[in-house]
Amino acid sequence: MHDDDKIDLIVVGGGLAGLLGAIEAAQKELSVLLIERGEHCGSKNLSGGRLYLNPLKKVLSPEAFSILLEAPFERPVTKEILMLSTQHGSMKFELDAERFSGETPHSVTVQRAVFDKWLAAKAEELGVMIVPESRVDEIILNEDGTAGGAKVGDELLESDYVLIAEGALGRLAGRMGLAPARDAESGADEAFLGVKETIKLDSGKIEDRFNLARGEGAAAMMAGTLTRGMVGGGFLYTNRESLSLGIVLHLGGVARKHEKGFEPWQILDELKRRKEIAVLVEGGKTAEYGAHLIPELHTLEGRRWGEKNIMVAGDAAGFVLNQLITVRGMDLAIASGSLAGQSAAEAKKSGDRSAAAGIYEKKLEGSFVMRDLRQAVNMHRFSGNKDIFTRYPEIMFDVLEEVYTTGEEGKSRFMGGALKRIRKEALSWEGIKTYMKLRKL
Amino acid sequence: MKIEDKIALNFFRSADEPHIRPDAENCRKCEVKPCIYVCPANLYKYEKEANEVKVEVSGCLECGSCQLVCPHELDWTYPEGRFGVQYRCG
Repeated sequence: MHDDDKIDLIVVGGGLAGLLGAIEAAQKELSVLLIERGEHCGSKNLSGGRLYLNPLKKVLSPEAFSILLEAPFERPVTKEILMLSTQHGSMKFELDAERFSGETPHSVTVQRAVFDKWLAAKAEELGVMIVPESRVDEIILNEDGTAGGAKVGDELLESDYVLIAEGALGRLAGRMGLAPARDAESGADEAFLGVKETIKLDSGKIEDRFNLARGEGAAAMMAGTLTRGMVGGGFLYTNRESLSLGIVLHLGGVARKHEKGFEPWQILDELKRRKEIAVLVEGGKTAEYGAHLIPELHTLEGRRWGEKNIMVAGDAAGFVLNQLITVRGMDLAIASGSLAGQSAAEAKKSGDRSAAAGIYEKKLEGSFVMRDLRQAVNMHRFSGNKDIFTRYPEIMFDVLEEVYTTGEEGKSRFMGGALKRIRKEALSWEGIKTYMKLRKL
Repeated sequence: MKIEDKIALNFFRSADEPHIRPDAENCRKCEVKPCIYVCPANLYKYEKEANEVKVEVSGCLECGSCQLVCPHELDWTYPEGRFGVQYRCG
């Protein structure tokens, strides 16, 4: 803390956005107080979790980026797998690209309780004061619309800047009109629910089963009938000595279905029993079971990411990207949090406290965060198209099954039936429209 | 593996006061009761005889799904600091 004991920046929430905001601000000599609900940073946090590193190079300060690269990641992802499940079997595609094994990994798997805790220790080394086991109940607002700090129980904590990084529900931000209104009308439709099991498995077994070089990792995304017709998909990531197996389902879809057998935990259980998954997790021991809400912005129109000396970052701002086989949240949290920390420092230097939000929004606009979000906002209409999750995998499977099958009557005429089926089912106007939208990705 | 057994693997510190309080009257008149289906921890139960929705808050994963799907503004807060789920893996 500085001599006058005045706090420059209060950060609400010790997730990735909050921690990076704190780290950037502390590096620029700001005094930072970070308030975290859990017993330590990371203990309330859950991700799939795979983190893409490349986009962060240009956004983070070089110092913050080099801290990040030292973090205890689980495995660099060198193998991308796409699994399509159908009623009668499954298909699997694997991609081993050389560029995934560069010196800086393209993406890495992480466990948040480990990763965030480590980052918190780094933040503390830089002078950030972290107060765990405390819930911020309110942002204190001054008469001029600036924030005066945060309220924890009866305690009033004053600061010049506030970074709200409270996580996916965005309750504090929402009250200030800085997050989408999360009500029953639209709340469930603008959210996905992720459910995950962490399954302990010997590292040698992981490498054998996924065909990996020692220490390297794989990330599998799954689509198809596994979600029983609901919008969503599955994922399986390799950690050092465990697997993260989970599903992501459109919350509004689950709520509207309201039927036994379609509950998220049932869908995950069924996925775990599917043959193509069962052989991978066999003998593993479930260590933890968690869930996390994933916001999905349907429009950027009229949205603000801050107000005067208040900034919102990460999940709280709705900074999540769902691009079918690419699902991103952590890199956006790290980037936005980092930009918020930099903005607080720049505003302080300029002497104009109220300039922070404006600086922050401008930085967001100039970064990949807004570029990618714009694209994703157009995408959500597309992810509502159930065909790509059920009908197309089914058609593809049937075609391949026919090609590979030799029956009692010998082989059926080369792809005759299959081609007919493609022509009939995939080459419809709906199929063509889907293809045109896919091209925009 | 049963869902209750999966939840039991997690570390929770329970608060004295529940952080979710369904309104008995609202739940009674709620036709769909979507909370029962969306909760990833399967904590919501409808007790037919009493015509009541019960929630076992101590196993809550704090995702907030129930509050988002509730048509009647469910009374939901995060547990006070230091309480609730504490992930070891995340």
